[in-house]
Amino acid sequence: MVRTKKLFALAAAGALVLAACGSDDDSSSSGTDAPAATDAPDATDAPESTDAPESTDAPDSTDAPDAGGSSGAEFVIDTENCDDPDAATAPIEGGLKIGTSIPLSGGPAVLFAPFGDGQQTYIDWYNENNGGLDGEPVELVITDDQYTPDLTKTNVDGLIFDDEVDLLSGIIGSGSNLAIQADVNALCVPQLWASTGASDWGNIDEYPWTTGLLVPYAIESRVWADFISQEAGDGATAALFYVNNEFGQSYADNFKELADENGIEIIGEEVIDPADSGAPSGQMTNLVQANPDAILAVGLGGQASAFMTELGNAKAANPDFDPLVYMTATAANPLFFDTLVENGGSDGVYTSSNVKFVSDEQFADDEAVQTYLEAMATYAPDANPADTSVLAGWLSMELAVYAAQQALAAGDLSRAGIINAARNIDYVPGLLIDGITASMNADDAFYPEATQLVRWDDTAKAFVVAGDAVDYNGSLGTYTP
Amino acid sequence: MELPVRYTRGSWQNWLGRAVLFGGVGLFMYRAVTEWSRSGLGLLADALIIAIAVTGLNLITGYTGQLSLGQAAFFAMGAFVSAMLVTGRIWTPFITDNIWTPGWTMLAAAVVCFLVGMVVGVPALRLKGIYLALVTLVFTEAVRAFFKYDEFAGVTGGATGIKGFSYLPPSWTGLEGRADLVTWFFWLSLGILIVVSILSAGLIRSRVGRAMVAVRDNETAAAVMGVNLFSIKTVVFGLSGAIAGVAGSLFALKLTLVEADVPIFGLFGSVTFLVAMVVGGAAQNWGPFVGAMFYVFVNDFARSVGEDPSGSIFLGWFVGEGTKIDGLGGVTFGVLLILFARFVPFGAVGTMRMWRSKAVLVVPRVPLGAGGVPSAEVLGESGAVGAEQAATNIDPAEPPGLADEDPPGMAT
Repeated sequence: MVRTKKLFALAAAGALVLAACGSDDDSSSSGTDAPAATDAPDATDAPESTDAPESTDAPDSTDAPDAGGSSGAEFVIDTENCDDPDAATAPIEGGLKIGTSIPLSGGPAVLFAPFGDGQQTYIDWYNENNGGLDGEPVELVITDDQYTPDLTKTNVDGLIFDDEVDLLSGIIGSGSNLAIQADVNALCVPQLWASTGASDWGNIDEYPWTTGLLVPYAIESRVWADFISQEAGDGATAALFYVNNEFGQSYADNFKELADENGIEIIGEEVIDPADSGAPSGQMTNLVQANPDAILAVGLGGQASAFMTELGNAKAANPDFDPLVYMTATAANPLFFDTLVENGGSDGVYTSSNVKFVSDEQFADDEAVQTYLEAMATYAPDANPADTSVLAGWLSMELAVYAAQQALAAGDLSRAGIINAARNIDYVPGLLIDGITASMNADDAFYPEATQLVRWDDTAKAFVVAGDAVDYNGSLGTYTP
Repeated sequence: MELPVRYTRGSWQNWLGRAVLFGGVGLFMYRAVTEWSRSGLGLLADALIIAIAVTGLNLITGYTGQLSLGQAAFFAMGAFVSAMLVTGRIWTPFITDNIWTPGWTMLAAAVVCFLVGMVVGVPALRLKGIYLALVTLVFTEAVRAFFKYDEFAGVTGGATGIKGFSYLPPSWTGLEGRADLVTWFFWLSLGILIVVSILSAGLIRSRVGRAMVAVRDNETAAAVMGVNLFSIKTVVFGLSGAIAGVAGSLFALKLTLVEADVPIFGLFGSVTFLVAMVVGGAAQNWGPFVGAMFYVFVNDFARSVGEDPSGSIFLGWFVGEGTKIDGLGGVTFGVLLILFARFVPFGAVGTMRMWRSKAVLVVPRVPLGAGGVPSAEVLGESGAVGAEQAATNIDPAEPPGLADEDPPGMAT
C-alpha cells in the first residue's frame, strides 16, 4: 500500500514537472516557426481551384512570365457593404499610418520578434530615402500579441479605433488573422500581407480586404509531389510527418490528393502534437521501418529541428535509410539549418523559398539585397539580416507601402484605393528570387505562387538550388471555403 | 480611539464602507467605458471574462479545497458548445441563423458544463490535493484532444476549429454594430460577472457554503458532522464548471473563433485561472475580480515594457533608446508575479483584509436571546471578547493549503 502511494507520488511529481514544461512549450511551439502555424484553414478544398498548370513536370516550367498575372479581370472593391462606406473611400490625409500585431513576448517571440525589426527598418529606410509618401512620413505602430488570437483582436481594436491606422499589414499567424478577419472586413480596413500561407486569404468574395504574404501551402505540397515523381519515378513511396493542427493538416490533405494524382503511394503517416517538443523518436522508428522514397515533414519551430536531429541519428544507425526529405518553407531559415550541421540531420534536406538568402555570395552584387543589408546595418544594427523572419517583415511593409504608392499614383489614396491597388498588384520586390512573377487580380486572389526548391548543403553551409524556380502564378485562382 | 474600531455587520458604518467600495468600483467602470481607449476596454472585458471563470474556480478550489487544473477544460467546452450552436453544427430547437441572438448559447454551455462537471467531481471523492490536480490536468488535455479529434471534425471543427460567427449588440442596447462591439462585450461580461458573484456569495453564506468550507478544512470532521461529501463535491464541481462554461462561451463570442490550440483552452488557461485566483486571494468574494485585473493588466504592462524598454519607468534609465530585448515582457511579468507572491502572501484581497482588520473590524450581529437581550452563550464571560472571536471565525479563512505554499501554477 505504502509502496503504491510512493509510486503514485513519484508519477504525480513527474507529471507536474512535465506540465510545467508543457505550458512553456505550449506557447513556444504553437508559435514557433510557422507564421502560418496555428490553423491553416480549410486548405483541404484548395486543390480544387488548383487545376492550372501541368503539374507533373512542374520543375521544368521555370518561369512562365504570363502564367497568370495581369491577364485576369481588374478587381474593384465594393464598399457598399462596409459599416461606414464613406470612411473607406475618404482620402487619407496627414500621412499614412500602418498597424501590425506580432509576438514580441512569450515563447514564440524568439522566432518572430525579428519580424518587427524588418518591418520598422523598411519604414525608417523608406521615410529617409523617399521623403515619406506624398511628402508625409509613413508611420508604423507595432503591437505585441504573444501569438494569441485574443490579444491580436484587442490590439487591432486599439489600432483601428484609437491609433486610427489606415491599414494593417504583416500580422503573424493564421489564428490571429482569422480572429480579426470578419471584423476588419466589415470595417473595411485593408488587412494586407497576412504572414501565413493558409488558403483563407484567397477568399476574395467573402473577405476581399485580406491578402496573404506567404507562398500558399498548397503550392509547396505540389512542388514537392512533383519533385518526388521526377526523382523516384513511377511507384514512388512517400511518408508524412506532420503536426496535428490546421497548419499540418492542410499540408497533409493537399499532399495526399497530389500523391494520388502523381501515382505516389503513401506508406506512412506520423503525427505530432503542437505542444510536443520532445524528440520524435517513436515516429522516426516507424518511418525507418516504412523506409519510403520521400518524406514530407511539417513541424512547428523546435519540432522541425528535433525532427532533423532524429533524422540524422536514424540515418547514422541505418545506412539503408536515405529518403528525400522536405521541410516546410516556414522552416527555411539558414540560421536554423546551420545549427544542425554537427548532427548531420539537415544535410541534404529540401525546403523551398521564394526569397533570396541574403548571406549568399551570389547576391553580393544584387542591388535589392545590398540596399536591404545597408538599411539593416543602419537602422537595426543588432538584428541579423540573414534571418528570413527579418526579411519577411521587411517585405510585409515594402508591399504595403507599394500598394499605397500605387493608390496614390491612381489618384485614390484611400482605404478602398489601397485594397484595389493590392488586389491588382503586379510587382516582384527585389528580395524575391529572380525570374518569377507575382500578381493578383479579380480571378487570382493569391499573391506569391512561385517558389524555388532548395537543398541544404552541410559543406557549403548554405542552401543550394534544386532545379529551376517553379512559377504557378495564377494557378490557385480564388478560394471558396 | 482604540484600534481596531469595531462595527457590527449591517450597521450603517458597515453599509457606508460597502457603499464606498461599490461606488469606487462603479466609478472606475464608468470612467473605463467613457474615457478608456478601445484596446484598454477590450483588455478590461477580457479581465472580466477571466474573473468569471476564476469565480467558478474559487468555489471548488478556494472554498471547497479541491485543487483543480480542469477549469480550462470547462472554459473550452463552453466556448465550443456556443460556437457549435451558433454556427448550427449541432441541431438546436432555437433559431441559430440569427446572428443577433447567440446569447442563449451561454445557458446551453452552462448546462453542458454542469453535467460534465458533476461527472468529473466523482474522482474527487477518492483523490486529494496534487492527485486530484493530476486527474483534472489529464481531463483538460483530454477535452482538448477530443475537440481536435478527426472523426468529429464535422461537429467540432477538428484541428481547424470553428470560425465565422459573431455576436453583435442587440439594437435595444443603443450600441451600433461592430464599432461598439468592445463596449458591448464589456457590459455583457460585467453584467454576468455581477450575477455570478452575487450567486457565489449567496451560496457561500448558505448551509451549502458552510459545508464546502468544512470539507476544505477537515473532510473527515465534515463527514462526521453529516456533510454529504458525494453531493457537495459533485455539485460544486458542476457549478464551478458551469460558471467556467459561461465564461468560455463569452470568450468565444468575443473572439469569433474557437480552435483547440488557443492557449487559454489548455493547461495555460488552467494555470492562468489558478494564478489569478491566488493573486486575488483564494476564498475571497472580491478575489477573482482583483486577481483577473491584476493578471491581465500587469501582463499588459509587462508587454509594454517588452515593446519599448527605454520608455519604461523601470528600465528607461538603464537601456538606450530603441533597444530591443527578446522575451523581456515575459521576464518582467514573471518577476512581478514572484514579487507579488513574496510580499502579498494571502492574495491582494486577503492581505488588504488583514491590514484593514488592524484598523476596522466588522463583527457579526449578536443574536438576540429572549427579551431582546444579547444571549449570554454568545457573549460568554465578556461580550466583547466573544464577539471578537466570532468575528475571526465567521469569515472562511484562507485555505491553509493554498495560502501558505506557493501554488503550483507559480512555478511555470
